Amino acid sequence: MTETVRKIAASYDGVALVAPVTTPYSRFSDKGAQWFFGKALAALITSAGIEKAQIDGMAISSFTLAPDSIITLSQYFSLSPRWIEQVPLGGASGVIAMRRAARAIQMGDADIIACIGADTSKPEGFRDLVANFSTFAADAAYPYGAAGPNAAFALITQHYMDKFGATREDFGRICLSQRYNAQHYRHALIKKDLDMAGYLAARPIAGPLHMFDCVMPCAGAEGFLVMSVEKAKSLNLPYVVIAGAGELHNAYAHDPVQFRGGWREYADRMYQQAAMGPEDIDLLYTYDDYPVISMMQMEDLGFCDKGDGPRFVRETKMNFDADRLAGPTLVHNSSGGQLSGGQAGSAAGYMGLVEAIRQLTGAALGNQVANSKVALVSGYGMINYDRGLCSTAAILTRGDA
Amino acid sequence: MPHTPPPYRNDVALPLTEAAQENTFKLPVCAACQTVQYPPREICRRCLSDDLVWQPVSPRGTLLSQVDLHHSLEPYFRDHLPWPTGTVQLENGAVIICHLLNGHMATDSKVDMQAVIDPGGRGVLVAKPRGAKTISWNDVEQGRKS
Repeated sequence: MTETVRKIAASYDGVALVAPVTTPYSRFSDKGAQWFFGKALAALITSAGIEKAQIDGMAISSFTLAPDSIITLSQYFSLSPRWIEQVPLGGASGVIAMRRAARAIQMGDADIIACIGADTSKPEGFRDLVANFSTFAADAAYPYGAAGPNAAFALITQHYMDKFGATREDFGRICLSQRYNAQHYRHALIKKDLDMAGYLAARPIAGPLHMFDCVMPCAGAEGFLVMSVEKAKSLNLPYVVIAGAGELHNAYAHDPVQFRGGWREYADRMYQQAAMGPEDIDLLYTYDDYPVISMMQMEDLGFCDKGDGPRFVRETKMNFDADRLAGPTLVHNSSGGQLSGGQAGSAAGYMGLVEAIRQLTGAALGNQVANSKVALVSGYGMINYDRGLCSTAAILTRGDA
Repeated sequence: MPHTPPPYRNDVALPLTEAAQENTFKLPVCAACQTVQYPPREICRRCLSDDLVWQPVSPRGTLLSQVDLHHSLEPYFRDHLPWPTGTVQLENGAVIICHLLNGHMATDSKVDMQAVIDPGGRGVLVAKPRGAKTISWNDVEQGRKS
C-alpha cells in the first residue's frame, strides 16, 4: 500500500473543552429528541455558569430529531447562533463535532459552541431506523434477515475469529470489565453482576454474538462546550485540550470483510502531533458497539499489533480502578461504554468524549480514575451495508488550570 | 397468513427481481470501465460513469464468513430461526451479503451465487455450493438446517 503524503494538521492550541454533561438514559422515552437536546443544553449552561444567549455556536447529532434539525432547534430554544453544524455520523459524531468546533473557535467564527448528541427511543423506532438507514442497507442488508447491524457485525466478528484465533472469552474480557466500570458510574443503565460463565451462557443473537456483545438502544444525551482557553479560564472552568486528532473514512474499502479501520492510517501522525505514544495514554475510550470493534481500535491505534488484540485484552487490566503497579493497565471505557451504559443513538458517539473530559477534570460520577492525565477517544460509525465507514480519534490532556 | 420477508427495496435494485424471474444472474456493470457494482447504484463506484447496465456476470465466488442469525427484527425470519447468512466475494470483486443454501458450506469454500424470488416476491441472492443445481426459495427455506 502506498503512503499518501499529507500535511500535518495545524495544532488545536488555544481550544478548551469544558462542561461535560450527560442527560440520564432510559430504555424508552415518550419524550422527543428535542427534549433531550433541551435538557443537555440547560445542563451545559448551568454547568458553565453562562447565559443561554452566550452560546453563539452549536453542533448537534441525532437520528430521531427529523424532521427538525440544527436550524429548527435554534428557534425552538430561542438561540441566535452565528455558527451551526449538524454531524449525522453516529458513533463518529462526537470527535467530528469537536474537531469542527475547535477550528471555528480558533478562527473566531464563534465564542462558545455547544456540542450535543441526543436521541429518544421508541419501542418500534429501532426497526424503522435500521430498515431505512441507507439505500445500501435497504437493498442489500435488510432483506437478508438482518437484525439491524447485528448480522453485519456477526460476520465481521466471525471473520476476525477465523483469521486471528480470537475466542468468545477474549471479547468477554472487554464486556466484563466494562460492566464492572458501569457498576461504579452513576448513569449506566445496566449494572447487574456479570461473570464469564454468565457472559458465555447468554442468549445467542447472531453467530458468535450473544446478548452481552450487543448494545441496548436507549434514549439520552451527551454534551460539552468548546471555547477558547482564555474564555475557560475567565469562567473558572476546568478544561481539557486537544493534543492531536485525526479522522479517515471508508478506509481499506477493498478489504472484503472489515478487520481494520482508518485509525491505522493516521495514528502515527496523531501521536506525533501530540508528541506522545500509546504508552502515554492513561484512559482509552473506544466506540464499543461490539467488542470486536473495540479490539480493532486497540490494534489500529497502536496498543498492540493487528491480530494481537486477544492477547492484549488477556494481559491488560482495563477496570477503572486497576492497580497500575500490578501489571499492564489501560483503563478502557471507564463508564462502562455503550455495552453496559446503553446506546443512546447519536449520544453514543459523544459518550467517550464526555466521560474523558469528566475524568481529566476530576469530575467523574462515581468512577474517578486516579492520576489520569491523557485520554484517547476513538470513534467509529455508520454501518452502511457490511461495515462501519467512519473512523475518528483524538488525544486529550488536562488543561493547566 | 404467513409472514413474508420485508419488501424494502429502492428502484435502483428492482432489476434484481427481473433477473431472478428470468433465472439469470445479473448485476449492474459499468459500460465505461466494466466494474461490477454491488450493492446496486446509479453511478459507477470506480469511474463515476452513469452508464450502468444490468448484465449477466459470473456467479463464482468464495464464502468468506458465515453465521446463523438467532434473532431478527422481521417476523418472517423470526419464524424461521436460526437463519444462515454469509459474506461472499465474487471473482469479479463484488462483496455480497447473502442467504446461504444451507449451513454446510465451509468458510473459504468456492460457491456459486444465484438470484431467487423470495416469498415477498423480491429477487434476493443465495450462495450455494460450487456446481450445485438451480434452486428455488423452497430449497433455501427447507434446507437451512439440513
